[in-house]
Formats: sequence, C-alpha cells, structure tokens
Amino acid sequence: MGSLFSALDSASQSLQAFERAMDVTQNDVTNANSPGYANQVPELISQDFQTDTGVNAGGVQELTQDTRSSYADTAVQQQLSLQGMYQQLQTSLAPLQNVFDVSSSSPIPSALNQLFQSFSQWSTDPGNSNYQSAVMDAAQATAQAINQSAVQLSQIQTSTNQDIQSTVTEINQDAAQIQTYNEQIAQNPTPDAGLSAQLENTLENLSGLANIQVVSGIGGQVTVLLGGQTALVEGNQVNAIQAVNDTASNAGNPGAAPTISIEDSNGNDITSQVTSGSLAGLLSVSNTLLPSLIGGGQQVGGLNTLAQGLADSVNNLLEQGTTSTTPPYAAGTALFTYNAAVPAGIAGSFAVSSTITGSQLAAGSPGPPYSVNGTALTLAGLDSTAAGPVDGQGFTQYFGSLTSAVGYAASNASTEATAQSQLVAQAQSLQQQVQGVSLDQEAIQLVQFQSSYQAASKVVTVIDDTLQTLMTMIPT
Amino acid sequence: MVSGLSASNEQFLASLNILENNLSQTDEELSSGLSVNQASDAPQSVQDIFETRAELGQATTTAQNLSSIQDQVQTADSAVQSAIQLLNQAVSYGTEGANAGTSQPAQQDLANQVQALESQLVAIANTEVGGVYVFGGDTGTSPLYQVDTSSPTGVDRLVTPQQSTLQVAGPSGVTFQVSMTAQDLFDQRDVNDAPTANNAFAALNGLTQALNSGSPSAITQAISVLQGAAGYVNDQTGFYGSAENNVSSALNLAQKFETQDQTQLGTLEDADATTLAVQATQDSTALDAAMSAQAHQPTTTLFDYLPIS
Repeated sequence: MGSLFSALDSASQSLQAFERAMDVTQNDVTNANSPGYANQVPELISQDFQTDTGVNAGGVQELTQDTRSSYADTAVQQQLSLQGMYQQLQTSLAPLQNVFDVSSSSPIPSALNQLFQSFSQWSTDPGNSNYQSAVMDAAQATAQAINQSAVQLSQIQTSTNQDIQSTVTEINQDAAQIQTYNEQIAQNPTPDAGLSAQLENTLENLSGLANIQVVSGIGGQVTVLLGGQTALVEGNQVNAIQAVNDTASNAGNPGAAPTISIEDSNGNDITSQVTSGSLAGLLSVSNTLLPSLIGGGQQVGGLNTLAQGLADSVNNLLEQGTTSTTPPYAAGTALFTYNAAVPAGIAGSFAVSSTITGSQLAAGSPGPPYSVNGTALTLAGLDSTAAGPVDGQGFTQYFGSLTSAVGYAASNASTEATAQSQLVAQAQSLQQQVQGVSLDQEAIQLVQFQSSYQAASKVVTVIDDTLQTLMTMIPT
Repeated sequence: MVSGLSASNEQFLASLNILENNLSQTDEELSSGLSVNQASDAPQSVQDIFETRAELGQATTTAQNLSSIQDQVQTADSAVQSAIQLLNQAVSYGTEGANAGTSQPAQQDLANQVQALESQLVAIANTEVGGVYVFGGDTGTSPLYQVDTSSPTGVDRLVTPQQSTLQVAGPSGVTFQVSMTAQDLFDQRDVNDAPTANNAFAALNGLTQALNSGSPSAITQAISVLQGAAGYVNDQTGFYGSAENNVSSALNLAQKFETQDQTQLGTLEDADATTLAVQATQDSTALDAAMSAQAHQPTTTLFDYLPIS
C-alpha cells in the first residue's frame, strides 16, 4: 500500500509540474512579441527514487530557466546608444541644413553675389543714382540675410538646449522607473519574467538616450552607470543628473551662449562621460557645432567672423575712398555697422549704416593717381581676391566652408544612422536567437506537456482504480 | 501588453528604409534636376558650387558692363570720326574761301557754313549715350558746351573741365581706360587756360572770322591752324581704336568665362538623368523584390496545425 500511495504522490507532483510547464509555455506564447521579454524554458527534472522511504519514484519537478543573456542585452544596448546619437544628430542637423542652404536662392550667398555685382555695375558709372541705390539695396539684403541666419541659428540653439533638458528629464524618469523595478525585484525574490522584460525594455530606452553600463546584482537588481562611471541607479537609489549652463565657459566672450554641462547628483561635471545616445548627439550640436557657427563658449562663430570680415573690408575701402572728383579728396563713409563689443553677436547686429545714402558711397580712389571708380572696382573684386579677407578666403568661399562643414556633419550622421539601424537590427536578431520565443518550439513543448500530463493523469486513474479494487476486497 | 516587432521584421524594415531613402533621394534629384539639393548630398562640392555661382555672376555682370561700355566707346569713336570729317570739310570751305576768285558774299556764306560746322562739333562734344555724355569725363551727366560766337573759341564751357579717370575692369581684373574728355579732344588749353594750336573749336572760330574778314592771308593762316587741329584730333582716334579692341577682347573673355562657369556649375550640381533613371529602376526592383519576398514569408506556426479540442 505504501508504494501505491507513494506512486500516487509522485503522479500528483508530476501533474503539478506539467501544469506549471504548460503555464510557462502559455506565458511565453502570450509574450512572444512583448518588448524585452526573454524566453522562459520549463525544465523537468526526474526525482530520485528514495530507497529508504520509497517516495518520489518516477516523479518530476519543474524548474523554469530564464534564457536572458546579459551579453546579448548589452550588445543591443550599446548599438542602441550609438543609433540614438546618430539619429539625434541627423534630426538636429536637418534645420541647420536649411539655414546653410545650397540652392541658388540660398540667402547669404545670393545676397553676397548681388552685392558684389552691384559694386561692379556701380563702378561703370559711379555717379549713377540708380546704381548707387542698387548697391544700397544689395547691402540691405545682405544684412537681412545675415541677420536672419543669426536668428535661425539662435532659435536652433534654444531648441537644442530645450531638447537637452527634456532628454535629461527622460533619463531621470527611466532611472526612477528602473529603481522601482529594483524595489519590486527585492520584494519578490521569485524570478518574474514580466518584470524582467519591463526592466530590459526600460534599459533599452535609456540606452537610446545615453551610454549606460548595466551591472546585474544578486537577485536580478541592476546598477546603471552612465558612461561606466557615474551611478544613475544603485539598487533602491536614484542619482538624478541635470543639464546646466556652464556660465564660466563663455567668460570673456560677450554675446556667446554658455555651453551646456551635464552634472551628477553631487554637482560634478560628467559631460565628458556622455559619449553616445541622443544626449551625446544633442551636446555635440549645442556645445561644438553651433558655437562654431554662431558663437558659444570661447568661439566667436563663423557667421560672426563672416559678418565682421565683410563689414571691415567694405568699410575700410569706402573710408579710404572718396566722393570728391577734385582735390582735396574727402574721405568716404562706412557702409556697414555692427556691435564690436559683442563679438559673438556681430551677425545679429550687422546692419547698413543709417547715416549713409547712395550718393555718399565713395567710388573714387584718391590715389595717386586719382581714379573716379578705383574704390568701386576694388570693392567689386573683393570677394575674389587671392588673399581673401576672411581667414584667407573670400566671403562666398568662407560661407561655402561653413556650409560644407554642416554638410559633412549631416552626411556623416546620416551614413552612421543608417549603418547603426542595421547593427541594431543585427544585435536584436542575435538577442532573439538567444532569448526570443519560438512559437514552433512552444507548440511542440505544449503537445509534449499535454501528453505527459495525460499520462500522469492516467497513472493517477490506474492507481485510483487499483485502490478502489483493493478497498472492495476488504471484507466489511 | 505592449507588442514589439520581431528582430527579423526590424531588420527587414531597416533595409527597406535604406531602399526607400535611396528612391526618395533619386526622386528629389530627378524632380529638381540637381544632384546637390542640400549640403549633405555632396559636402565636398559645396564650396566649389558657391564659388562657381559667384564667378558666373561676376562674369555675367562684367559682360553686361562691357557691353554697355562698348556702346559708349563705339559711339565716341564714331563721334571722333565725324569730327575729323567735319574739320576736313571746314578746311575745304577755307580753301575755297582763300581762292582769289571767291567773292566777299561767297566768303561770308562759307563763313556761315564753317560756323554751322562748329555748331555740329559742339553737338559732337555733347554726344550722349544712355544719359552719359561720352566726352564728359568723370562727371559726364550734363551738356559740356554751347555755341557762343562772341567767345574766342566760339563756344562756352557749361561745366568745369573734368579729367577722365574712369577705369574699366575686364574679367581677369585687368583695368584700362576707355574715354577721353571733349576738352582733351576739341578744346585743348595751356596752363593759363588759353586755347592751344590744337584747339579745334578755336581753329574753326578762327576760320569763320578769317572768312568774314575776306583776308586771303588770314584765311590761309586759319586753314593751317585748322589742319593742325584736325591732325591732332585724328591722332586721338588711335586711343579709341585701342579702347574698342580692349573692350571687345575683355567682352569675349567675359563671355568665355560665363560659358566655362556654366559648364563647371553643371558638372558640379546637375543631376545625371540617365544614371538616376537606372538607379531608380534598380532600387524600385529591389524594393518590389523585398516586399514580395517578405509577403511570401510563412506566417503560420505549428500552433496553426494543433487540433482544437
């Protein structure tokens, strides 16, 4: 009898084990497409026959195995970080490409072209009021084009800085969410595939925002390090980061926007640790690319350099020129003005002098020998002089170099973003091979477990019948 | 439950995205006719495109300027040629007047004709093209002379004598002069502002007065002076011939530069329609093939074959 009851107990345990296995399979099937979910494999282990008591003979035990691979997850997170950075660069550089337009109607090159052509036309008849007006109009259009570009770049700077703030907020929200998961893991030591999936999903989202390193601790809790150095999440503790204006960065450069620094919860500058993720892309645009164009930190900015070079070159020539046709030759008047006290704001303050009229434009060169259109001719050829007036380049050439720099950055970001999309897909494919749910495999397992369940159920039925028979054999 | 895409679907979409981007880029280039629509399309060419556009603009403006100048130079040259003919005509009248058989009334008639020639010379000195007085020098915006028979030269200056320092630039930056003043040509004066022997106005006026006086010796003397002045004006035609050649050469060079710049710009930024059409076809075929292949991917699993109990 003892062996019959023992067999009944074993069969009962087996039934429970197969039921759990089917539950695990059902859960796998349900979550086959859940982001971050790792396949759970029910493993059935035969119970050893215990010779002393005779129990557990033929019984099975179910132990669920989690297929999650930290290597596969890390590979996906790293590729997502790089993808996040390049996609962000691609997004942020799109409006910059609109400012540095390459079409034939691109405002600054068109205006410069018109200005120098108007100088050329004016040189043929310096006293012609129509030609003088054309020069004034072209100068006005040039000033407006430069002002407009300065405003657009400032708007992009503001928008980028807002994006940095919102990205930092999102990083902190993800960190807080991970901390919540850590708490749940600590409270429930039993592995929870759903919680693990949510955690992984949040970690992948965080990876797209910044380069993180995930260290798994005992019981499944994770420590998240930004740049492998600064702890964002440690068990139940969140160390929020913040984006701040580095007010010291633009000291001595009036008009320049301060660079943005990322600080840890103790106020330490950890900007250099942010090397990928969308935050790195935004920081690169805000702290490096935009300052090189419109000024920021210790940089004056290419557009300001262009505006100053243009104003200084044209003004110098006009002031050395003369409107007189006979001695004594009266000095000419400056055409452009700008606020020299704010070097990083020159493009914004660049304007046509309010005190000059067309008839005050000094076309003549006092010489000797005097030439009635000497200055106008020099102005007409100013953009194509061998030793260019802006960093050794002509104005159009210099603007071209700025546009080219933006183009290279955008092209590189686009190429890298495309490549990263493929690399992310490859890493995800590898991840799925290791820990993804195969519905075919789950179907096979389900059939197996159903059959096993039915077999165990049959054993219980047989034992029950045997016991009933034995019970009826006992005389009452 | 949040549902995600399988890795294979993600990979398919990433590849599909590349093909669609290629097609979109090709469409943009075909529709605009330009291979460079934004800086990232060809960052290495952007500087050259801007510079070539600027050079093309300068070449076009220079050509327009030279074309306008060419009209003025040609008009001035014609005017000087007319002036020479006019002076020679005056010499003929003088010779006729100096003839012993010419009566006093006939001499006075000839004097009136020479006077008329001087009026014509004044008109030549005041030649205007598009609002510009071609012999007006640096401020040639108003008439320079008017007839005044009481004046020693027979004319009055209406403006202060100007110099002509206007330089014209060719497309290569070389500058040259293209104009002389009426004073240089017809109204030569010494440092005391007294007419010199080369002063055509004074020579004509002298002949008029000589013919009116009826003195053969005075007429002969006036003819001699007039011939000298005509010779001087004739010498100045060399300047305009040279100026015309310079302008013509510069204009040809500017037009050549225009053509070169247009060709260069086309090479830099024009789309190659043939290559793009082939590319579009290839990408479109690849896209169709990818979609078709994906559509034929089995979507069933073994669950579909399990009996429903």
